[in-house]
Parts: sequence; structure tokens; C-alpha cells
Amino acid sequence: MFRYLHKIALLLLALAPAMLAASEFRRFEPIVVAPRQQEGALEVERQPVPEELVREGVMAIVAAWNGPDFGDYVSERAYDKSRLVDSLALHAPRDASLRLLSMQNMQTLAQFERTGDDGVELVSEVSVELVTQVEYEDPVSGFQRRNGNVELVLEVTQPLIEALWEE
Amino acid sequence: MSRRRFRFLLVLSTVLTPAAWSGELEYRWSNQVQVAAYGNSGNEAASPFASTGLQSFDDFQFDFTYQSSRYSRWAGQFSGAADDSDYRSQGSGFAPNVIAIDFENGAARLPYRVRLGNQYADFSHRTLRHAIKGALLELQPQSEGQARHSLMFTAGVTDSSWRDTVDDPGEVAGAAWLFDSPVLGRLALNYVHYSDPGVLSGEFVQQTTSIAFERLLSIGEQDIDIEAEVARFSGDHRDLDGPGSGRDRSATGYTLSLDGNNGSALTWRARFEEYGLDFQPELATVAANRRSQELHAGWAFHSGLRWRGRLQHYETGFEEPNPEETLVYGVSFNGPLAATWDPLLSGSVDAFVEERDNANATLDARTTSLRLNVSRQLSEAWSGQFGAVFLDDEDKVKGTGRETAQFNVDLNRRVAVLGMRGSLAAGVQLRDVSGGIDSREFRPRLGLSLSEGAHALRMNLGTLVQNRAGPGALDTRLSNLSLGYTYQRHQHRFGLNAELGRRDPDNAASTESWRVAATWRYAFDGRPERSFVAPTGSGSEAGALRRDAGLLVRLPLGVPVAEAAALLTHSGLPQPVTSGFGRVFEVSLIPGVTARQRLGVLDDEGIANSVAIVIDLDPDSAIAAAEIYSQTADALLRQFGAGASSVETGRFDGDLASAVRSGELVRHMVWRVAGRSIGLSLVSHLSGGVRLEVQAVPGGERPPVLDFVP
Repeated sequence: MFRYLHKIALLLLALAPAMLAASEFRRFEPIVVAPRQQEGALEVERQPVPEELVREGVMAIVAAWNGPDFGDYVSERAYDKSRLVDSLALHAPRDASLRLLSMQNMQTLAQFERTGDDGVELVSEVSVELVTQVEYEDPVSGFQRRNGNVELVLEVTQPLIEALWEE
Repeated sequence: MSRRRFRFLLVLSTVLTPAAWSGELEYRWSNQVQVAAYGNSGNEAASPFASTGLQSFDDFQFDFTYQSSRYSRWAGQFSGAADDSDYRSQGSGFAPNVIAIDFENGAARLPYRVRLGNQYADFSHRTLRHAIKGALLELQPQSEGQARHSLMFTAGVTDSSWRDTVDDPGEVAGAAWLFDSPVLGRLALNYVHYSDPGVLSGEFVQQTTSIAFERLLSIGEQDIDIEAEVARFSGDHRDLDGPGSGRDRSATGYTLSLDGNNGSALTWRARFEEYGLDFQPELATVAANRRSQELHAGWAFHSGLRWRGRLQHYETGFEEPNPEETLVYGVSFNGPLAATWDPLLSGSVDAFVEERDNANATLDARTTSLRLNVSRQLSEAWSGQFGAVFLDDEDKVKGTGRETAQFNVDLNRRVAVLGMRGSLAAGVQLRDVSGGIDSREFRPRLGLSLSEGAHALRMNLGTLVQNRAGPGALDTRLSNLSLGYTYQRHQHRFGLNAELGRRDPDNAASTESWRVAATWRYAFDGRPERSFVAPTGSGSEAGALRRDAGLLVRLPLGVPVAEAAALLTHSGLPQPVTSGFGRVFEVSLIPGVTARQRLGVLDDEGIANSVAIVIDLDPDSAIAAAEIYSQTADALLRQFGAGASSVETGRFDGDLASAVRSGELVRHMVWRVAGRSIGLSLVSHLSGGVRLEVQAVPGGERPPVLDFVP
């Protein structure tokens, strides 16, 4: 499976409850019904996103936190993206880093297809809870650690054919 | 909604087609055990590890799907953990994490979906977007034409954990209607009722109602996506300014956004939002007492370089006596930054200014940020990165400021060590902070990442030296070493991780910290595998194989390729052509297909590892290509059964090669039969040709792209 991970884009949709976002308002999730049947065609069976894939995305986000690439992981559709990225860039201690203490409660919330740059994609929205710790050296007080519990909503995008083989 | 997203809605009806009814339960489960030991010495308060000793856990995840009929489906996700680790949940012992069951029925007169347990209640940013535990019922009345309706009812509680269920959690109930038409746009009505025990403010009850609309307009060459929502809050919220200040309040929230593009280089966005002081829906995502206006524009150059500019204005606390205003303006460039001179150089430049002040003039600050990141492939083995950050903080009220300059240089090299391949990275970061307490920082680092087959190894070594000057300032040296190893064998994955840290401040006690962890994960895929029954009538000679597509399963793999080829010639196939990748036979195996067919047996160091049928298609004859695809798919369905997964989108017409290459035309089917995965793919090649490839490999991996057949 890992051979194909380079083709999988991970987008961070949210860092905190105030940022949880997928779009401005809800998307239509069609129920498959008889009149819409297309003869001879079969569907990719939906399966929850593998834990390894989510962990890989989370680790990439944790590594990018407080770095120049962090904005690449926040979805354009996340509410107040630029305020989040600007605040981190301007106000976080430059030597602050994020440590992932644990990852749990992973749940695939929704899956749907859309047409992207590389053809039809399977998009999965996955929520996961993280226990994190921000660490930095205060110039006077010395070592500081700040614990946090955050819930991320990740958008995992896979080319549909790749997703079919991931089943 | 962008043009692309509208296209998604149109494509959906052709892609989202019914799954084959198997009536079979498919499930996966995994279990992970981790035992970790943490330790500190010296000044433990300065260790990153707050808890020491053994910290262990065992967590599991179980998912299933059950297609109970062609149009009805069950799905479930369950996970839980036995925790004895302070670095996970607060409590110890066993507790479920996720309990979620979905059922949808498209065969009912009124198609419906039910969700129970953990779920994400999602109406809109301004009404409801929050994780809850509860129930959801969605009805999708069917109508003529392409317009679609969804009625959703949800109710639940806001407990964050099954373990720590509180006695009196927040309770939410809501209803929403969504009308979705590719012609008229989207319209939504939402209603949310929320009650909260209000530990500090006392119990409160609130309602939020909204109407949202989205429509794509084409004006000349411009496509403009208009989206708006008006939401009304009424009831109570948490007290903001003394007891009772959150009772019986009401406020309105507005948003309007316009997203435009002309289908080529220019994109733009204008956005307005306003939320009153008392617009406080507890489970919404927007910030109260804020007004914002934003303008964004982008341009994509032919070279691939993208320019973006922005102008943003925010007023926070605008319904209070001392509102704060923030103005942000900036530009950024991404992509090949100097394509004319050096096409291999790519990266980003981002510059912006943030100005903040308030009505009382107690705040007047300006921050300027400039960031540069470039990377370049230096040779086949080497690549390099350079980054720079400049920050200038100015507090005009206090007359103080701080300037930060940071540079980093990193080099990466592909390496092979002990039969493993990977990369070696070395870099250094320099940082200079002046103003207040000055700081000079130096951070060298080294990283190694290797893998080979089931083995993966990584190592990171880094040091941070901080020399600071100013009242009470500390000089500190931090060092960190981490090692990780994973080994995957079948359904088992083993991991070992170690981390060692040391902190040496001047004139204070040092700290040493360490962590060692061992992990074992077992994953089981309960997908029922179909057996393969050979059609009656084998080859005419003893030991011969029948000449049909069943060869994909019957031909032995893992044997010397010469032996497999000999078996095929013994079965009546012509002598093969030998290439560097295997043996190729000119033979017709799909009945009724008159196009050229070849059978290929791929080998790795002389051992046959996959077998494939390649069928050439005429890229200028879409009708013939469609016919051949249909005949081939039918033959394979007869041979291997109907339990395939497939993707079909687009039509056979026009320029097939470009349609396949761009992903507009997709045909892909997968079978898992008798321990092999078989894939039928419509593929295009750089030569401009289009063909069908049917390839079988042992196990569940996707076959590699066929490049041995010209």
C-alpha cells in the first residue's frame, strides 16, 4: 500500500473545534437508488481510510507546524484559514515545535467522488483526536510545554483507481 | 462553489453507481499493542515527558460493511482501547472510542439513511458543525430531473468521550433541508436547538435558524460562484459581561462570498462576514462580534508560477466601545520562481503586513513578514533547499520592536546502505532575534531514512544552541537523537522507537530524558475471497492448460519463467519473444475480440511474478474500442465472476488517448480470485496508443504498469 502514498494528498481541514470545516454548508451525499442505476457499472466499495494513511498525514502536519509549509496543509475551505496561518507565523515562538503524544478515535465521516486534477478522486473525510504538546524555550523561564487535545478533520484524496486497489 | 465542484455534482451521477450485491459481510479489524518506557534525570520539570515509567495501551479497530441488497447497505466502525498510558486519555482501563453504525436503503419508496453513535453533525458554519453522539435520519425524496432533495434530522449530546460521559451534557437537535440542482444551484434551510447545563453561566437554551444559497453564474467569460448565508440566533448564551448578560439575546450573522475565474489564468475572491456580539451558537464555528472584508486575486503564469495577492480587513469587538481593527495586505508567488533561467528551481515567496490598532489607541502595532523557500534538484542523487524568514514587529504605543532573521540550508542525498535504499539529509538553521532579549541560535541536524522490502529505518540527530543576551536571559543547548525501525510481515507490523534528549542551560541543572517504545500491530482483512473453478475441458494434452483468460489464474507463478513459458508452449501457445522483462506470446485469449492480443509473463531475476493479457485498441475508433472493452469485460466477468469492484467514468468518443491520459475516460475493474489480484485497465501510452491490460499478480497488491510490451 505504501508504494502509492505519494499520490495521496492530505489536507488539514481543521485544528480546533472553531475551525472544523468542510464547506460553507453541507454537501449532498446521495443514497444509491434503483432509478439511477447504470447498467454494467459497479461501485468502489467504501471502506474506512486505513490507519497508516491517517497517521502518515498527521505526522506530516505535526512536522509542518510552525514551519513555512504549514499553510499547505490547511484546506482553502477551512474557516479563517489565513488568520490561523498568519497568527502562527507572527506570534508563535520561532523555536516552538509540536510533539504528537498520541492519536486515537479515528473515524471515517464521509466519502464521495469528485473530479480533480488527476481525474476522478475518492475523497474521504476522517476525524481523529490528537494529544499534542507544544515545546519551546522561553528566553527567561526556560523550557515550556503546553498540552492540548485537538480534533482534526482530514480530507484524504486518492485517485479513484488507487482507492479501488486499497480495498 | 467552484466550477470544478459543480462538475463534481454532474459527474457523480455517472460515477456513483450501485455496488454489486454480494450479500456478504466484509470486515477488517486491527489490534495494536504498545509498551513504552519513559525516563528523566536531572531537572525533571524541564523534560518533555511529564510522566515516567511504563506507559502502555492496547487499542483495536473493527469496521464492517454488509451489502444486504443491491440498494441497501450496513456499515459500522468500532474502536476502543485498554489504556494504561498518561499520554492518551485521562482515565485508565478499557473504554470504547468510536461506536458508529450506518444503514442506508435506496430501495425504499422514500430512500433514507440512518446513523447512530459517533458522528459529525454538519449543517453549516453558522449553525451546526460539531462532533456529537446521537442519531441522524436523512430522507432523500426522489424527483424528476436532476434536482435533488435531502431532509435531515439529527439529535445527540456533545460528550467528547464514551469513557467520561458527563451527567448533564449539552443536547442538540436540528433539522435541515437541502435542495441541490445543477441548474438552479443549492438552497438550504437549517434549524438547530441547543441546551447546555452551563457549568459557569447556568443552564441556557438557544436556537439558530439559517438560510443558505449557492449559485454559479456565467457572465461573459467569467464564472462567478455566489454563496451566501443569513443566520439568526435567539435565546441564551454564556454570560459575557456579568451574571445574566447572556440571557434572552438575539443577533444575526451574514456572509457573502463571490469566487470568480475566467477559465484560464485569473481567479479572484471577495468575501464579507458579520456576526453580532450576541451571535453565539454554541456548536457553530464562526467568531462572534466580528466583521470582516476580504479581497483575494490570483494569476497563473504559463511557466506554472502562481501569484496571489490579498487585502483583508477585520473588526473584532465592533459592537463594543473599543473595537480592534486588523488590516492585512500581502502577495505570494509559488512554483518555478525563475523558469527562464533555471527551470529546476522552485519554491515560494510570501510577504505580508499586518497592522492592528484599536479605538482607544492603546494598541497600534505593525508586523511585517517575508518568507522565502526554494528547492532544487542538484544532480541525480543530490537536492538542496534554502529558506529565509524575516519578521519585523513594531509596537508603536510602547515604542518597542523585535526583528527576527532566520536562514536554513538543507542538502539531501539518495543513499544505499547495507542493502537498503533511502536518503541522507543534513542541514543547518541560523536565527537572529533582536529587540527585548536578543538571541543567536544555531541548529545543525542530520537525518537518515532507509527502507528495503519489509524493513524501514530512520534516524534523526539534532542540536539547538541558543545564546541569549538580556536581563535574566538563559543560554541553552538542546540535543536530541531519535531512532525508529519497522518490520512488516504479512499482517503483522513491528516497530521499535527510541528517543534521547538532553538540555543543558547555563547556570542551571541539566535534564536528560528518554523514551523507548515497542509496538506490534496485527491487521486482518475479512474480505471473502472467491475460489476459482476451472471451466471443464482442459488442454488437449496431458498437463496442458486451457487457452482462455483463465490462464491468468492457472499459470503457476513463483516458478522459473522458462518453466512457465514451457508450460504455455506445451499448451499450444506459439513460441514467445523474450524481452528484458519476460516472455511475450502472440495469442488470442478473449473470444470475439479480433484486435491484436498478447500474453506476457513478467519475471524478476528469472522467476515469473505476474501474467498479463494486452489488447491493442485503435485510438481513432472509439466505437470499436468501446465494443472491445465490453467484450473483454464480459469475458472476464464470465471467467472470474461478478464480484468485481470497478470504476467507470466518461464515454468512448473523441480523442481516446487524451481522454484516458487526462482521466476523463476511466475503465478499471478488479477481481480477487484464488489468491491473485486481477486488474483490467484502459491505459494510454506516451506513444499515443491506447490498449486494454489485464494483469494478474499474487496477493492483493496492485500490479505495476506494464512496460514490457511495446
